[in-house]
Amino acid sequence: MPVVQRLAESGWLPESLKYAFVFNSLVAALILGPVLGGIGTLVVTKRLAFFSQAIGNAALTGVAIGIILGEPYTSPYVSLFSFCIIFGMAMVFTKNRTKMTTDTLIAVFLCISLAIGACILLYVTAKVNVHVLDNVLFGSILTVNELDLNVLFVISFICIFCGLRFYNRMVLSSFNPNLARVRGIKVIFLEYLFILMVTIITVASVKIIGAILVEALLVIPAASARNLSRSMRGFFFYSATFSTLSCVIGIVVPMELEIPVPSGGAIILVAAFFFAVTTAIRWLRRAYPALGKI
Amino acid sequence: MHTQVVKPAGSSREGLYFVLTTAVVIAVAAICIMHRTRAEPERVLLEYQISGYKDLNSFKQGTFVALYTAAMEIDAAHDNNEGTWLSVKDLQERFMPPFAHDRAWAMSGKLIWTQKILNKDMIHATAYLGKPSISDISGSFLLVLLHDHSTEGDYQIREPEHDEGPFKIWYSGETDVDFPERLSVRSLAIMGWKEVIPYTGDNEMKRIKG
Amino acid sequence: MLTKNEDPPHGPSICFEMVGLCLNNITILQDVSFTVKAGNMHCLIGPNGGGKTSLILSLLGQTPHTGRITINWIGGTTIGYVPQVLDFDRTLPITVNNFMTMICQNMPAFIRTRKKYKDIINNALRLVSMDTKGERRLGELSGGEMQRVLFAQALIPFPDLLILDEPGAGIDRGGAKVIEEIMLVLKKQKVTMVWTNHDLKQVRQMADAVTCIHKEVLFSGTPDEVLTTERVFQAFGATSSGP
Repeated sequence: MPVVQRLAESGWLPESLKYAFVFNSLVAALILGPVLGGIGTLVVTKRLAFFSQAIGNAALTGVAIGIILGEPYTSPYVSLFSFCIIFGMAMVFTKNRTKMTTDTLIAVFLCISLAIGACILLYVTAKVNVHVLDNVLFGSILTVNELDLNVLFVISFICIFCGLRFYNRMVLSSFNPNLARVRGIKVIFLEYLFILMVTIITVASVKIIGAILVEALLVIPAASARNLSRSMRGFFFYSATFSTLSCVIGIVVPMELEIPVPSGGAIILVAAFFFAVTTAIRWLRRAYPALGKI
Repeated sequence: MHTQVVKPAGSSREGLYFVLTTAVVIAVAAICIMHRTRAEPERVLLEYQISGYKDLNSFKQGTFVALYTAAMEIDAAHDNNEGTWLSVKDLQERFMPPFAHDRAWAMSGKLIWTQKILNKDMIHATAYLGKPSISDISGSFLLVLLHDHSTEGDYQIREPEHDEGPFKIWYSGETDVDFPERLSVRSLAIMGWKEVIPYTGDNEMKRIKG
Repeated sequence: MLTKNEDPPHGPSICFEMVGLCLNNITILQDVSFTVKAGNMHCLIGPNGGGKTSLILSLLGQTPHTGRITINWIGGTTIGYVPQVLDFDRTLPITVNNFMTMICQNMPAFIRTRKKYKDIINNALRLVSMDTKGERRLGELSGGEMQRVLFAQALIPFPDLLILDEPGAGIDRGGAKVIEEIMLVLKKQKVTMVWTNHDLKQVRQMADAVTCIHKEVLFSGTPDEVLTTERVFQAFGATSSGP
């Protein structure tokens, strides 16, 4: 860190890096980017985009519960993790054990969670101002501190480990669960595990890009990668790259140009830009096959 | 060579594992939260602290709340004005309670305010002492502000639940106090000053729950 | 040929005793009892919705069936399953090679295929004449090509019991021939095969035994015995897909 500070002050690196919180957010972006991009490929493959959305919204309720239980409101991690984990698992359990269609199920859970969150928040508004909600929903890099980074490191490590170990099996489970079971894959266990992974990475990302927008980062870079790639290798690495670039650019550019947008919003805009460009490329390839592989 | 009877599905223990895991998560969470909130100094009033909503009568509360708001302004102004603290005169010109001589001030003991500035290198501190000129209504208030500019960058991360916040408000039942020489927590506590802890969400919960 | 390190497979015999299946208050299977002899190619025929797939899933232990299904293993205990479909987003950039890699190894397919699996996968794909199409996306495959890939997957590792759910559906003539040839080879190796089928000509030519399922067992025996015209009409009603 002191090295970076000196470099920043002497003009080698962007000046804003001399602030700890900027440095912290960039480190967070460099870790979060690839992890979200990678998990995003699974989210898109398994068609669980809206599941992730529901978990993002549950984070708001988790924060509310944390405040009411007395956790510091800039990092109510215990409640966040506990509530979101139980919430995610409950969704999977309900999906497996009832005949509700997935989108009805998600809608029900989303609404119940929001309602609980809103009611609790009414009680705690004496303690907290509206900006806390803002930060939870859209991220606030200004408040990223060491605790957040540590949480992010640990969670990312867990996700990377589980992701790499179970990737193939998770994809196969979504293609044909019966076939997966015959091949010895524990389909139900992996279902829960995957939702768990999405939940914990969402919670870890709440500070930086906000609860609502984590889902966007899980889906948009993967969708952009899908436009460009011809095999899984391209799919995965493009997705991780787009995601990382979106995070870094979305954090650095508004700060350098002093545009006061929330980091989450900027990141998603960059990701959307990539999506638009790759969609255009794909269309061009279709229309003019001679272009081949650009 | 062996015989296998194909087991029918549906004998999975998904439900059991789900309930078990939920229970474990809640148990772990409960332990963590108890540990976390116990570490919070605000949850328990230490010997040298009093509660802003329980221990002060309405006049003193009025002064306290006004002083709290003023403190936030002074704090922000210090950052914006490149390191200068607002003087009592500045505050009165801005009609800032409790420094301004308005009706509320008159009813709350007509506190006379004096200020001391103790800036040293990168550490800027100031204190405002308010002594009542009418006795029997209020005691004395002391507002202490501390800005440590030696931390990285100029950015102050405000975490009001953190004990080392940018300002503290102290109260003393004495009406004839000298301006304290030393402003550290320990010195003030020894001399009989009490730190006033503001109204918190906890208190709101207690008020509602009765 | 596929290499295998163990003894030549002797497939198991399978015994269905009074097997039933009831889901959502609908009886799908009832009192199903028949035997699949070891090493046989045993075909399941019957009208659509008659319960063939459900019976297969019950054999795989994936339904809450009643009754008793016993598998008497003789050689190894590997089951190969060729499902009817894969359910996935057709625009996903997953190639045939990616798919086969995911089947074989733990290391994520987007990193690389391990060397020891490369040959195995190539051999399996060559058997079904799909080795030249390894880099095609799964979503771009025709129905028949998809079936062939699914067949190739079932051969890794080499199965002792091969279960196929309507592998002939939508397959082109060339592809069907490819699969037929492989199955004849498997037959010679005494792999037990349970095969749901609609093509009665194929059944008559290749099967050792056939069972007709329409909620219950309508008839069961060797093709010569039971595949008479009346039986066929009885089984399929007016919609016969006979020769």
